Amino acid sequence: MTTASDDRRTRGPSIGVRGGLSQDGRDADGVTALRSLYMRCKALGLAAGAGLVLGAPDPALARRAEELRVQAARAAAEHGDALRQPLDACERAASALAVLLSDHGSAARLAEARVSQRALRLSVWEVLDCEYRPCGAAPAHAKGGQR
Amino acid sequence: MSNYSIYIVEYSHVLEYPIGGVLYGAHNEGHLVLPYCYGVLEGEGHLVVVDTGFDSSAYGRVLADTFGVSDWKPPAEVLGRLGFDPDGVDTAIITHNHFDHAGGVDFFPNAHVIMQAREVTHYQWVQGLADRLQWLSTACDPDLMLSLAQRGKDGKLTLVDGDAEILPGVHLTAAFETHTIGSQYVTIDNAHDGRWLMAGDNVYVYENLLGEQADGRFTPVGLAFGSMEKCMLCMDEMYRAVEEVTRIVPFHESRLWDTFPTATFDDGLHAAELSLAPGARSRLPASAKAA
Repeated sequence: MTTASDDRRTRGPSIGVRGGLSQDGRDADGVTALRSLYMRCKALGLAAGAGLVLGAPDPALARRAEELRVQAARAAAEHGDALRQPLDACERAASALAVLLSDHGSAARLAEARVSQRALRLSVWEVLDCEYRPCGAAPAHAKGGQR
Repeated sequence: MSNYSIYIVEYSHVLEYPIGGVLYGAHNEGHLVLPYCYGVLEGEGHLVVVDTGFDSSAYGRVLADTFGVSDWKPPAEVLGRLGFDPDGVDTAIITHNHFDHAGGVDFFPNAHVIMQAREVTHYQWVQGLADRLQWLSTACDPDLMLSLAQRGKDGKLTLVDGDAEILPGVHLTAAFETHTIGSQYVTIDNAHDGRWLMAGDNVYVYENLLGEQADGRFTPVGLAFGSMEKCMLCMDEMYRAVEEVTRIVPFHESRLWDTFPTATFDDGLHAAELSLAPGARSRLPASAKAA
C-alpha cells in the first residue's frame, strides 16, 4: 500500500515548512505516519458507527480495522519513543473497532470503542493540531477590530 | 396549530474569533465574539433541544488552548438556569454532525434523537476515500456515530430522509450539500406568534443574510462542505419563509442577546427567550434585561 510519505507528489517545494523535523524534534516521517493512521482510524470510527446505526456495517470494515491495527503497531515499533503513546493509542483504537465490528456492536464493545477513540484523539493532539476548529477557522489570534 | 416557548442557550464561546470564519471571504477584517448555542422548545407536551453542544471532557482543554473556546458549561447548568432538566428532554434534533452541535447527545439520555439519514450515510463514503481527502470528515466526531448506534439499539433514534414534520408544528427541512452534506434546518410554526427557523450552521450570523455591508446581498458562511451555491439557495429558502430576518435564528450570533429578552450570567454566558407560548411564564431570571 502506498502511504502519503511514499508519494513523491507530497514532496512539494514547501515541504520543508512542515516537513523535516517537527518543532519539538520528532521525526517528520513518524508524524506523517501518525497523521495518516489517525485520520484513517477516525474515518473508520465514523464508518463503523454509521454502519451500526444503519444496521449493516460493511464487512470489509473489520478487516480494514485489523489492518490498521497492524500498521499502527508497526509504526510504533519503527518510530520509537517520541511517538509511542499516540501510535499505541491508535493501535488500541483500531483494535477496539475491529472487535466492535466482529461483535455486531454490543453495548460493552461500543463503550470500549468510544473510550479508545477519545484516548486516541487526546493523545494525537499532543503532537498534531486539533482538527475540531470552530467553524473551520485556523487558530489565528491576530489582533483586529471588533464588530 | 401548536404553540412552543422558544429559548436559545449559550453553553460556551470564543471571545475573539476571526470574522472571516463566519463570513465567506472576509479575511483580515477583525474579530467577533462567537457564541456556541443550542435551541430549546417547550410545548405540546414536549421538551426539545435543537442541537446538543459538545462534551468538554472530550476535548475542552485542547479547544480552549488552541482556539480560545472558553466558559463551557454542561446542559445541566445552562438549562438549569431556566429551570429545565436535561433528563426531561424527550427529543433532540441534530442539525448536522459537527462536534459543537452533535457532540453532547449523551447529556440527554432520555431524548429520541432525530437527524438526516444522509448525514450518517455520507461518512461511510468518506471512509473509503484516500487519506488526502479526509479533511471532509474534519469536524465530525466518531463518538457521535458510536453513541447513535447505541441510541438506535435502544429505540431512540430516527433517521429522516428529506423533509418531515416530527412534532406538531415542528418541521425539518433538508439542506443537503450546504454547510454539510446532510444538514437540515428546523421550522417552528406557532399559532400565537408565527414562524421561527433554527438555521443550523447555514447561517452563522445576521450578516450572512443582511450582507456584510448591510446591502441585502447574502454572504455565505465561511465553511461549506457542500457548495456555496446551495448554501445561498438554502439561505434564500429560509429568507422567503419568514417576514423578519430575526425569525431566522443563527446559533453563532452574539446579537441574539441584543435582539431578544436575554439573561446574562456571571460567567458571561447568555440565555434568550424568543417566544413565550400562551399561558407560559418567562423562565428568564428576574434580572434579565429586555431587548
